[in-house]
Amino acid sequence: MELKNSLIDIYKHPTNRGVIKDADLTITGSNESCGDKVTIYLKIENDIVADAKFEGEGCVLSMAGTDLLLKYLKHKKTDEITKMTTTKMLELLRLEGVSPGRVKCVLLPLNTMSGASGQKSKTT
Amino acid sequence: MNPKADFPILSRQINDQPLVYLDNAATTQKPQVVIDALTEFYKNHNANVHRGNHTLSDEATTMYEETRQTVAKFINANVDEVIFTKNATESINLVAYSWGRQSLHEGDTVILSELEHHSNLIPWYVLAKEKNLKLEFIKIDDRGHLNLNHYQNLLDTCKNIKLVAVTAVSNVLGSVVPITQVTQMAKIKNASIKVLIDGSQWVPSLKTDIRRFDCDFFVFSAHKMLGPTGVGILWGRKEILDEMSPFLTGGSMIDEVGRLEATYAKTPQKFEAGTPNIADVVAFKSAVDYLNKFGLKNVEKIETELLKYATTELQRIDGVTVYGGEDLTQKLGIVSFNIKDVHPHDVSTILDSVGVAVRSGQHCAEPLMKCLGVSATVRVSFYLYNDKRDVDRLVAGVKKVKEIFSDGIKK
Repeated sequence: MELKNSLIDIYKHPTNRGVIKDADLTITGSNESCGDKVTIYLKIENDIVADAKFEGEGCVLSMAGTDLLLKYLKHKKTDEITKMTTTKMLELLRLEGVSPGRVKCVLLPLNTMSGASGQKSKTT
Repeated sequence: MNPKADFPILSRQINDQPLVYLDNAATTQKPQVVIDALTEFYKNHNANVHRGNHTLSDEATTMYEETRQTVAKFINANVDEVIFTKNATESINLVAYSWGRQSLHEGDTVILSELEHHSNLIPWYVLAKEKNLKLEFIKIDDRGHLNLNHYQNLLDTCKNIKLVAVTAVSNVLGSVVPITQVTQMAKIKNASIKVLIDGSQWVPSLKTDIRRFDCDFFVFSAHKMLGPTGVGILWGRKEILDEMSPFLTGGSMIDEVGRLEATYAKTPQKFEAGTPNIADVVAFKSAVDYLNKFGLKNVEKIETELLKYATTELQRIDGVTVYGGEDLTQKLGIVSFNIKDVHPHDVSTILDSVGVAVRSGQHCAEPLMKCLGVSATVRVSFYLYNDKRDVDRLVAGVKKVKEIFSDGIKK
């Protein structure tokens, strides 16, 4: 598979990197086997994702993927989080396919976010 | 001598560039003679072994057993001590399940090392849990070699040591373990301590002399030494194998079968239940013949030359960290490295885009990654068909990775 320049650009210059200090939801996810880690912060107002940020370390696919996912979810209804699919994730990354060894990189933001759907209360 | 010509796959293009294959510690490519042997077997000799009474079955049996003889000679062992399994992992599992279940008891200690591949860890973790065994790990030094003082200390202080199970060569750092010394130290401490050596990375490149190693079990895989996948070898001391219960049971491994009881065949058949991987075992002989002709001395020479060249060239690139220190003595052709601020997976994906195949990740050695203080590395591993031009292509690829990521990352 090709690592597109557009993705590398997003990896280098993400728009949603950072911390939301008074986040309503803080979720972490990791791929133990490759050492990728991500923490996602969500600010939720009236069931709308008002703000979303992340910090973490990882490869282009997992980090750019997280950035693109947050960009997509921002200002959308929170139930959009549960509606996210692998196909949608690939669409956001503009990837037609992923080599088998890198599927988990693409799924890291998605799996991390799926942890958010079950949480309602404020976590720190 | 251009061994590349013997390996059809090496003339393939990957992403419009000639393939440079540097993932040999994972598996090696196969020469035409091995591919031909496989086809020839299925075309002209295919039958089941050890049971038919017809020409084809006789031929298949003879060919299957010829590989056992060739392998035994290659490692300087007795032919009835060579058992065919699926891979080195299965060989270790066989020892853990059969010998371990019988001979290890609560409170016994098994000594492993920080260099181990998961294949020589998990079978012992499972058994330790089941039997309440104690597992100890020989520490490594900065160069990625076993700390023999620490090993001696473990031998002196641990109670009821029953087994030392270590790799002969690290699959991440290429560091060569002094296996004869490791065995001797255990036996001097207590002659009843058994020693298992994982020779998966050793046998393809260095002379194996089972009698000199003086160990009790020795395992390796055919596919890492030009042979087909699906063939592993377990060598064990006959007197120990004879006392062991079978691992898998069924056809081929029995002597007499009654209504409720059976007696088992002698070793090695006792450990080869069911129809074995006949064609791949047969073709494996051609791989060993190829290596004998090529000469292991030449393999070692090529690997150590490329190790030096690659280490020097990679270290010259700003931001590249090579693991395992400066001293390259007692090392085979495996180099692990990272590029500052670039994830190893991204390095391997970009290298693949220019036709260079390398491994990235933890290389089935998570405890070792923790020792190195990294979550993953890029690994290049050489074999007899690699040359300096391959290293040049790797280095050019690494420079391209650096260029792509050059303007830094906003964090």
